[in-house]
Amino acid sequence: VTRVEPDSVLRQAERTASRVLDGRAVVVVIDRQHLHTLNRVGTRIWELCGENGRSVGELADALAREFEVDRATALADVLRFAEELLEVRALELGKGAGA
Amino acid sequence: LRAEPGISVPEELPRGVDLAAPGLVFGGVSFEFLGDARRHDWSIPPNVLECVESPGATPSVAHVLCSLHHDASLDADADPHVCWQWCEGGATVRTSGVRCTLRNVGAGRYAASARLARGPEAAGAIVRALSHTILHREGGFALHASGVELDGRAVLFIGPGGAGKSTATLHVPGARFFADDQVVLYPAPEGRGGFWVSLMPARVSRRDGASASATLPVAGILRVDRGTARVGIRTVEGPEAFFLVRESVRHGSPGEEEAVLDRVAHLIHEVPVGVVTTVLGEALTATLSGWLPGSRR
Repeated sequence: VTRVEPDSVLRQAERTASRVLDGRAVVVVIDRQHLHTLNRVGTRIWELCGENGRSVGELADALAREFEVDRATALADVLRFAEELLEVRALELGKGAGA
Repeated sequence: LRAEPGISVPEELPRGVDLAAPGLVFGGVSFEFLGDARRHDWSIPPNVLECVESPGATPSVAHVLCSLHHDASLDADADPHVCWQWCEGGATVRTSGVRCTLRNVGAGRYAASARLARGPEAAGAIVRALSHTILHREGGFALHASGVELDGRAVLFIGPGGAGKSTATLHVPGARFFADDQVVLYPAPEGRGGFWVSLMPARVSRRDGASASATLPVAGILRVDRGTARVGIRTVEGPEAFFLVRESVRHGSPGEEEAVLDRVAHLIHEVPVGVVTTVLGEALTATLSGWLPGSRR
């Protein structure tokens, strides 16, 4: 399992495609032909990551603000989500925040 | 191409280099060929022939005029994969015994020039390859699905291998068998709304004289879910419908993915999608008719 730190930068993997319907993303990992449906929080993280990437800390700040949860809860959600989507190769670690 | 019995063709085909052969419709595309079909044994193989219809018998989303030339260097070519690449208004198409260039010459109109190996396999291969390449440009895509015809429209069953797609076609008494494995879907010709579906060749076909025609409008798409208690259909929309349909799309080249997602989004906007619970021995007909919009039953 890839270790994710608060300063890790996450971005959508290059070989993915997605569509958001009714606030939920369906993500295709193209080379594996695997599909994943994200919940609303996961979809927001996915959108924020984009192609350029955001740090885990930035994502947690954004989630805490938008979903009105404390930052520790938001950070835990981002870390769990990141590890799951890195594992299925929907996200990849970037070199720096571009957003 | 020379058609096999069952397709309307003249008794004696004239001989010549640019033979005007009768047209045919396959996979939503109408074909017209120029070439010396008889000399090179370009007859249509049976598994492709059962997916062919006569021009005028069914609507088509595009028309292609294709000149055929025998190329002896391709007679031993045996790579069955279809490779194609669109670049602006033109494409190159390559498959077993076939090398072809294709141009879009107007709305829904194409011209092609092909070099072919000798024999029926090459004849079947070019029909399949050109229809696939053209359909991609016209908004179509291939789907793993079985299906039946109910009231003149197709009900398609999708799901992973072993889900019960083929078995579901046996649970609809009163419906005609349509497809067992592979189909192509495309927006209705002439902007009429909705989607149409055409049969693709199967390795082992269950079709017979009582089966539905090879092209039908699509009434609905159902993900098969085997159950034990009672038959039922649950309508799904949004991300669930999108997921279930995309999961059953036959993927082609990786570069197609964005286009495929757009087409699936278009499809679920036009065609109802649901999850059907099937129970061995229980007929689906009444449940299907109640679920389909505009059913006459």
